[in-house]
Amino acid sequence: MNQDRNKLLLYITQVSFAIDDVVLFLDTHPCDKDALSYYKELKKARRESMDEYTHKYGPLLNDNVDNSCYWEWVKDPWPWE
Amino acid sequence: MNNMNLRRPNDCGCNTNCGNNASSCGCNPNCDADSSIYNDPLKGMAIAIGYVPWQQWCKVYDLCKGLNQGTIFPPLDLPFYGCIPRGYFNGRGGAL
Repeated sequence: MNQDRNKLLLYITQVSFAIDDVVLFLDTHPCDKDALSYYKELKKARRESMDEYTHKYGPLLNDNVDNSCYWEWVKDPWPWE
Repeated sequence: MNNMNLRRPNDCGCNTNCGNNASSCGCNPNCDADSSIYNDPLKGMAIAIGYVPWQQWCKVYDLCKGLNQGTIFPPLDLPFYGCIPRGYFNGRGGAL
Protein backbone atom coordinates (compact mmCIF):
# COMPACT_ATOMS: atom_id res chain seq x y z
CA MET A 1 0.00 0.00 0.00
CA ASN A 2 1.55 3.25 -1.00
CA GLN A 3 2.08 6.17 1.32
CA ASP A 4 -0.60 8.39 -0.14
CA ARG A 5 -3.16 5.63 0.01
CA ASN A 6 -2.31 5.03 3.66
CA LYS A 7 -2.55 8.70 4.46
CA LEU A 8 -5.94 9.00 2.78
CA LEU A 9 -7.21 5.88 4.53
CA LEU A 10 -6.06 7.23 7.91
CA TYR A 11 -7.84 10.50 7.22
CA ILE A 12 -11.05 8.63 6.35
CA THR A 13 -10.69 6.66 9.60
CA GLN A 14 -10.19 9.84 11.61
CA VAL A 15 -13.12 11.69 10.06
CA SER A 16 -15.35 8.62 10.37
CA PHE A 17 -14.47 8.36 14.07
CA ALA A 18 -15.25 12.03 14.63
CA ILE A 19 -18.62 11.56 12.91
CA ASP A 20 -19.44 8.63 15.18
CA ASP A 21 -18.65 10.73 18.23
CA VAL A 22 -20.62 13.79 17.13
CA VAL A 23 -23.55 11.51 16.25
CA LEU A 24 -23.52 10.18 19.81
CA PHE A 25 -23.64 13.78 21.06
CA LEU A 26 -26.44 14.71 18.64
CA ASP A 27 -28.50 11.72 19.78
CA THR A 28 -28.90 13.49 23.13
CA HIS A 29 -28.61 17.08 21.88
CA PRO A 30 -30.65 17.09 18.64
CA CYS A 31 -30.98 20.89 18.49
CA ASP A 32 -27.37 21.80 19.27
CA LYS A 33 -26.36 24.20 16.48
CA ASP A 34 -22.62 23.87 16.96
CA ALA A 35 -22.79 20.09 16.86
CA LEU A 36 -25.01 20.17 13.77
CA SER A 37 -22.66 22.47 11.90
CA TYR A 38 -19.67 20.33 12.91
CA TYR A 39 -21.53 17.24 11.69
CA LYS A 40 -22.25 18.95 8.36
CA GLU A 41 -18.57 19.83 7.96
CA LEU A 42 -17.46 16.27 8.75
CA LYS A 43 -20.04 14.69 6.46
CA LYS A 44 -18.76 16.74 3.54
CA ALA A 45 -15.13 15.93 4.34
CA ARG A 46 -15.87 12.23 4.62
CA ARG A 47 -17.85 12.15 1.39
CA GLU A 48 -15.07 13.93 -0.52
CA SER A 49 -12.29 11.75 0.88
CA MET A 50 -14.26 8.58 0.18
CA ASP A 51 -14.92 9.67 -3.39
CA GLU A 52 -11.24 10.48 -3.82
CA TYR A 53 -10.23 7.10 -2.44
CA THR A 54 -12.70 5.29 -4.65
CA HIS A 55 -11.53 7.19 -7.69
CA LYS A 56 -7.84 6.54 -7.00
CA TYR A 57 -7.75 3.11 -5.39
CA GLY A 58 -11.13 1.52 -5.84
CA PRO A 59 -14.25 1.07 -3.71
CA LEU A 60 -13.95 1.02 0.08
CA LEU A 61 -17.52 0.00 0.68
CA ASN A 62 -19.68 -2.22 -1.45
CA ASP A 63 -21.92 0.72 -2.34
CA ASN A 64 -18.95 2.65 -3.72
CA VAL A 65 -18.70 0.57 -6.88
CA ASP A 66 -19.19 2.99 -9.81
CA ASN A 67 -18.12 0.76 -12.68
CA SER A 68 -21.33 -0.54 -14.28
CA CYS A 69 -19.79 -3.17 -16.52
CA TYR A 70 -17.44 -4.85 -14.08
CA TRP A 71 -17.95 -5.65 -10.43
CA GLU A 72 -14.82 -3.88 -9.25
CA TRP A 73 -15.38 -5.01 -5.71
CA VAL A 74 -13.61 -8.31 -6.46
CA LYS A 75 -10.53 -6.64 -7.90
CA ASP A 76 -9.13 -5.66 -4.53
CA PRO A 77 -7.34 -8.33 -2.46
CA TRP A 78 -9.65 -10.08 0.01
CA PRO A 79 -9.01 -9.13 3.65
CA TRP A 80 -7.04 -12.30 4.25
CA GLU A 81 -4.90 -11.87 1.15
CA MET B 1 -24.65 13.55 57.61
CA ASN B 2 -25.52 13.43 61.34
CA ASN B 3 -23.28 10.49 62.15
CA MET B 4 -20.20 12.65 61.63
CA ASN B 5 -20.38 13.65 65.27
CA LEU B 6 -20.19 10.01 66.34
CA ARG B 7 -16.75 9.68 64.78
CA ARG B 8 -15.42 12.93 66.21
CA PRO B 9 -17.59 13.92 69.17
CA ASN B 10 -16.08 17.31 69.67
CA ASP B 11 -15.95 18.67 66.17
CA CYS B 12 -18.07 18.43 63.12
CA GLY B 13 -15.39 16.58 61.18
CA CYS B 14 -14.50 19.55 59.05
CA ASN B 15 -10.81 19.43 60.07
CA THR B 16 -10.75 23.17 60.61
CA ASN B 17 -11.77 23.79 64.19
CA CYS B 18 -14.58 26.08 63.34
CA GLY B 19 -15.55 25.89 67.01
CA ASN B 20 -18.90 24.32 66.37
CA ASN B 21 -20.58 22.54 69.26
CA ALA B 22 -21.09 18.80 69.02
CA SER B 23 -24.83 18.83 69.36
CA SER B 24 -25.69 19.23 65.73
CA CYS B 25 -23.86 18.46 62.61
CA GLY B 26 -24.62 21.91 61.22
CA CYS B 27 -21.24 23.52 60.72
CA ASN B 28 -20.62 27.17 61.14
CA PRO B 29 -22.04 29.00 58.01
CA ASN B 30 -18.59 30.17 56.93
CA CYS B 31 -17.11 26.69 57.29
CA ASP B 32 -15.67 25.65 53.90
CA ALA B 33 -15.30 21.93 54.53
CA ASP B 34 -16.17 19.83 51.48
CA SER B 35 -18.62 17.82 53.52
CA SER B 36 -20.29 20.83 55.10
CA ILE B 37 -23.98 21.28 54.37
CA TYR B 38 -23.17 24.97 53.72
CA ASN B 39 -20.96 24.04 50.80
CA ASP B 40 -23.15 21.60 48.90
CA PRO B 41 -23.94 22.52 45.27
CA LEU B 42 -26.51 19.71 45.17
CA LYS B 43 -28.35 21.05 48.22
CA GLY B 44 -32.07 20.27 48.10
CA MET B 45 -31.72 17.39 45.66
CA ALA B 46 -32.71 13.84 46.56
CA ILE B 47 -29.88 12.11 48.41
CA ALA B 48 -28.34 8.72 47.52
CA ILE B 49 -28.97 9.18 43.80
CA GLY B 50 -26.18 9.63 41.23
CA TYR B 51 -26.28 12.79 39.11
CA VAL B 52 -24.56 13.25 35.75
CA PRO B 53 -24.34 16.88 34.65
CA TRP B 54 -25.64 17.56 31.14
CA GLN B 55 -22.82 17.61 28.57
CA GLN B 56 -22.33 20.93 26.78
CA TRP B 57 -20.81 21.34 23.32
CA CYS B 58 -17.21 22.51 23.49
CA LYS B 59 -14.17 22.99 21.31
CA VAL B 60 -13.44 19.49 20.03
CA TYR B 61 -10.07 17.87 19.34
CA ASP B 62 -8.70 17.95 15.80
CA LEU B 63 -9.37 14.76 13.84
CA CYS B 64 -5.99 13.15 14.48
CA LYS B 65 -6.04 13.72 18.25
CA GLY B 66 -9.69 12.65 18.52
CA LEU B 67 -8.95 9.24 17.05
CA ASN B 68 -5.84 8.78 19.19
CA GLN B 69 -7.51 9.81 22.42
CA GLY B 70 -10.65 7.81 21.69
CA THR B 71 -12.92 10.86 21.97
CA ILE B 72 -13.28 14.24 20.27
CA PHE B 73 -14.49 15.83 23.51
CA PRO B 74 -11.68 17.02 25.85
CA PRO B 75 -13.93 16.80 28.94
CA LEU B 76 -14.42 13.07 28.26
CA ASP B 77 -10.71 12.46 27.69
CA LEU B 78 -10.01 11.08 31.17
CA PRO B 79 -7.07 9.02 32.46
CA PHE B 80 -7.91 5.32 32.76
CA TYR B 81 -6.64 3.66 35.95
CA GLY B 82 -6.88 0.03 34.77
CA CYS B 83 -4.69 -1.05 37.62
CA ILE B 84 -4.08 0.85 40.86
CA PRO B 85 -0.35 0.91 41.73
CA ARG B 86 0.51 -0.83 45.03
CA GLY B 87 0.51 1.72 47.81
CA TYR B 88 -1.51 4.24 45.73
CA PHE B 89 -3.96 4.66 48.58
CA ASN B 90 -1.27 5.14 51.26
CA GLY B 91 -2.19 8.33 52.99
CA ARG B 92 -5.44 8.48 51.06
CA GLY B 93 -7.31 6.40 53.63
CA GLY B 94 -7.37 3.28 51.45
CA ALA B 95 -6.16 -0.23 52.22
CA LEU B 96 -4.59 -1.24 48.88
